[in-house]
Amino acid sequence: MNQVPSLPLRRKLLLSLAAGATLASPAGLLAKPLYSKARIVILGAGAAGTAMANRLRRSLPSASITLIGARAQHHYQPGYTMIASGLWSPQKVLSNTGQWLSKGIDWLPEDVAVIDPLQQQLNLTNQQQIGYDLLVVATGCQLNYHQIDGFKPELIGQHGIGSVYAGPDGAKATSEQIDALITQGEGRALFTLSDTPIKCAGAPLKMTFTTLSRLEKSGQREQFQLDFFSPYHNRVFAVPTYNDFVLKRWQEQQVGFYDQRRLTGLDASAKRAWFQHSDGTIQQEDYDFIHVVPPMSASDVIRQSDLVWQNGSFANDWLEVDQYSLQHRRYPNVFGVGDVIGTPFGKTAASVKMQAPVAETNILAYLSGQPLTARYNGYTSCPLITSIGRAILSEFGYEGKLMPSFSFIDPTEESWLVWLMKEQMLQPAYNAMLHGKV
Amino acid sequence: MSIDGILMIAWYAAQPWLWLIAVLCIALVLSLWLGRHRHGPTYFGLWPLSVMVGVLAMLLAPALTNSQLRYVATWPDLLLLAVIGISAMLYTWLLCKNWLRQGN
Repeated sequence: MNQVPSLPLRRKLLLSLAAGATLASPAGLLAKPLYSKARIVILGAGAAGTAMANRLRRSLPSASITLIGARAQHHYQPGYTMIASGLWSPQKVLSNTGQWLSKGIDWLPEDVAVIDPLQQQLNLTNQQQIGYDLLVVATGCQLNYHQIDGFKPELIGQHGIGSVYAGPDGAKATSEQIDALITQGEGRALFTLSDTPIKCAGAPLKMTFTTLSRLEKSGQREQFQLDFFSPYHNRVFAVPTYNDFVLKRWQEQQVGFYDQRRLTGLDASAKRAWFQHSDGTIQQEDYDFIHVVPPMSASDVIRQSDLVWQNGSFANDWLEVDQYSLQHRRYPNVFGVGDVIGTPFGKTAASVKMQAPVAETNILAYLSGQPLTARYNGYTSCPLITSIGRAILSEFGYEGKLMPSFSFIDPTEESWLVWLMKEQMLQPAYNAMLHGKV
Repeated sequence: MSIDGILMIAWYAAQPWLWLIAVLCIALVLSLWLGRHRHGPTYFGLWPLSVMVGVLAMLLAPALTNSQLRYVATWPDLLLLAVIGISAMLYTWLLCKNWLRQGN
């Protein structure tokens, strides 16, 4: 292992701490302010980066907080499924990044090009160099559409191709392709799943369910064949309770299920896709509509840095952090939050809501020279839409343990109330999270 | 989830609808204020009217949220629907009670 900059840095930072500084409260509560002159840099201006910037601005009033992220528009990504299901317009999920940031946060609308954790230095795409005392990595997921032969993101919205992950416009184009399929009066729709960790793992399932709803509403369900292709053995979702529910429901709804098949390529103009079976054989499938879930990873700048996992199932693809403390395992002055981290679960906005206070508390503890006591339990949540108008509130954590937030909501029962939460309450909860209020 | 967290989210959820809440409150206050001198027994149709509005609200609520009445299935669903119906009924009764009096 290379020289770790943590101890000298720690001593330096400790000197700048006021003697009477109080440590943050446990995770889940708002942290008490701490005096520190640390230079804190947050990479990524999405949900996780924004929430962390607002939290750290409040809890470290004397520190320098710099947020680095080029995207001027903020995307409410949990709304993509609503757009791709024909229920929302793209405008409903768009806002300005700047409007979510508290005063005193220096936002640099650039992307990072190189991370040097040994020198504690960043090179930005505009050639600017920035040093840091503490780094929070929240750069999100990278969609690796290029790993599917013959596929380009520009194809989404053409030739019967959709992908809910491809941003608000991509989600709208996906909905339009589903409309075109229905107008066609008959046909075959394929739904795929990637063999990498993906953000909002319920989204491919939701797209299948909402397409079924739309077909049923059109009165032509019998004219269409829907097939789901999963790279896993008899599995479309990591938690057995929900996996079994989905597979049973699809059987009732006559959705074909093909497991151990990974999408490897497609010919858009011929409307033909190729899947690789687990035994290596290639299978060709024709379609009228295909919903593509791309392989995902951390962004290339993370993958090319020394911050990436060096071994194990997340090696070379995801940020190496301790799955409980969210602190980097080799660089103690680096923390990770959001989709970028290599942990068993935790790639939803609901995960960020739980991760942000944990990371904040542990950052304050680190700056104070205290042990890191806050723990992220892997909590993630997904209102699993099973039809347009009803959903299951799936909440779980590490090892697939169910973690229901509300005792009165059965985590295995379809409900209008849960749909209402998805449709009406989730975005306000997300907004409160961005402000660091929950 | 903590009570603080629930209240905070409820506040964020209410913000886009504050104008509607304000309009409904103003309408109710004006109705009660302007009709305060109207006396006499209430018109017998007031209760059926209030119940009709409440039932209508219950029937429309799922559709207004891109859902369907048949998806109202669990007891929290039914409770929520009942709260919506009773709220609409009471609001209608309060709004109209001074104006639907016999002899005025």
